[in-house]
Amino acid sequence: MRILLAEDDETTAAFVVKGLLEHGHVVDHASEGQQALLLSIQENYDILILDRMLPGLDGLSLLKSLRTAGVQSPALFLTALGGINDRVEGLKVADDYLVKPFAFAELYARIGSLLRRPAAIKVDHSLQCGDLTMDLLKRIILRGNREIKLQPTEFRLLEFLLRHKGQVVTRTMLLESVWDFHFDPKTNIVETHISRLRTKLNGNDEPDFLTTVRGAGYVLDEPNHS
Amino acid sequence: MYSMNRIIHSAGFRMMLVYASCFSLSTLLLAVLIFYRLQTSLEEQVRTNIIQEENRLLVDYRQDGLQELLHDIRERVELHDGNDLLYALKDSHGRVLFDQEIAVNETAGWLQTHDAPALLISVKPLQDGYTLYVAEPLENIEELKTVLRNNVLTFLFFTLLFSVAGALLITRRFLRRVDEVTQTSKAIGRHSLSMRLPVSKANDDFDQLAETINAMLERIESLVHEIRHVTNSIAHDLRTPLTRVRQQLEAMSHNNAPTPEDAKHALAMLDETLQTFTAMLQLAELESGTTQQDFSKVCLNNVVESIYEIYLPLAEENDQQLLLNASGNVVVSGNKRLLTQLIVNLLENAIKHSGPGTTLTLSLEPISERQAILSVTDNGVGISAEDSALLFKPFYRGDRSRSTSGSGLGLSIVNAIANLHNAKISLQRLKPGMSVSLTFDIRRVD
Repeated sequence: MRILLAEDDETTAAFVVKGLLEHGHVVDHASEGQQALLLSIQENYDILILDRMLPGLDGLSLLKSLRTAGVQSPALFLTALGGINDRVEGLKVADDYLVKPFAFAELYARIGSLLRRPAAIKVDHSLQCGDLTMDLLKRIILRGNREIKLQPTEFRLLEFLLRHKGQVVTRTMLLESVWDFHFDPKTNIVETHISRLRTKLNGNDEPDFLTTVRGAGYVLDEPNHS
Repeated sequence: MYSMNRIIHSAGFRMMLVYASCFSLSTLLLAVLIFYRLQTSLEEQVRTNIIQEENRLLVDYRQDGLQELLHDIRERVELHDGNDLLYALKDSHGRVLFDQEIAVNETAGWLQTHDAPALLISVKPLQDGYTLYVAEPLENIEELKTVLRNNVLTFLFFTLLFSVAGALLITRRFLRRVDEVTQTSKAIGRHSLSMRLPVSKANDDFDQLAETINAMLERIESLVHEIRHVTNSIAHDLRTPLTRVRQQLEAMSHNNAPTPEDAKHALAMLDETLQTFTAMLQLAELESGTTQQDFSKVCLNNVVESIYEIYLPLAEENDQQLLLNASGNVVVSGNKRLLTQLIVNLLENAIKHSGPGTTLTLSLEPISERQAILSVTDNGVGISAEDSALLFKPFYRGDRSRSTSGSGLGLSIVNAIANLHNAKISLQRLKPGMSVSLTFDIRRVD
């Protein structure tokens, strides 16, 4: 994947570039707004990671210009501006918004989610993972022949995990997308729901599809896949 | 005490001068009006006198001829019966038959002379070419003019004199009060917010102003006090975990083989600091009120029901019973994300602070057409009366040592979100437990 990172803080930039290179991506780094604009028009990036407060041209104006110029690559704002209004404003243009400071695992999971986005938009009537099937129209979940009964929130949780099959989803991503919580709850609500879901999904001696990735989040996948 | 220059330039002095001028001008106008009215009516009286006299003379002339008329005139002049009338008579050739120095060349009509003595003369042509002149002096009117003029001028002079003197006196008093306020305000600005403006017993405009300013000072003083408390709390809440991180990192730097566990430990502490920091920023943003712009219709029943469903498993895990008691369809004007955060914060606070075996109730009930109450009730350990007053203050924590986890900002954020939504927040101490209720205004159907 080709990734553009527009970030003026050298330490943060080096940290992100190093992490992305380790995961086998090609990264171009721009430390200034105009430079980022030129690069993203010339090159065809799979994803844009933009700081909102860039010297020269700020991230928001930069992305607006790019969208006007027809650049459709998914974009993520990486920013210290974390206010409610800042977020709303940023998400009008960008596809995702991550407030500094952040864990690399969080950034990487969100990049993964953005790259998969076109596939996820496609309307599926059913989602699958191994012998686990979710019928979105009839709202029935089957593990083999066994029907699994889920609460509405558990259903949304499983749907989200299935749509991001094979990808790491973080606690924050789950909070925002499944429960619509845009703050950090003080209780381990995510862990509780994941453990409930895991118990319901895995019957007697069936393989566990739901893996916890330490320090990052959760992955739903067939065990022999990974 | 005060220089003339300062008094003259004061607003009070100028206002009083303008007032005095207006008063004098209206007095002058009144005097002029009265004068003209009196003059007209006196002149009218003189005319009537003359016409009556003429008529009497004419009757005699018609009956008894010219000699009788002359006789009549002479008799009247000699008798001088309290009447000031003057007479003259000319024949058809303009020869003067009789004259008290009033004969003029006119042949008919009314005439007024202005050189002293001023006279009103009536000229009446008789048969056979004779002309009769009857006149009355206008000295009464002249006298009236003089008296009025003198009196009005004297009156105006004293009015202006007293106005200026009064204005000077009052302005000095006025300046003294203004100076008190100015001096105290300057002192407050320089030294101490605990000073107050003097309030006299008169309860006049100045006292009311001083009371208003004092109330404002009261609020500012308490805010500054609060800021000091918050600053201390910030220093404590950010420094303590940062110190721990520093110690950890220092230990790691001496250690030849630091383990990932050591680093994770440091990270966890740093994350705690960042959470406090995020909460402080959010609190500041909420209190600035800028998020009020994007309010929309929010169905509180939906929010409450979905939160109930999300927290049911957690309560079960903690061996607590969570009940939902929601009725009606409560739609309010607000920000759904913030309202969710408000209810979650309240519920999590109850879950964390009431122990196992307790019952928590999340309830939403309309109390009238226009209002609904949302409440979180528990039958746990509850809260002491003195703590309940501080519960929604920033950085308050149940334990005094501030050693338990959490930023102590959760309920301040609840309070700020409630304020933003115009919801009244109230706390009830129960035996056992406590209940926090919020009264929301229901949005009208539109």
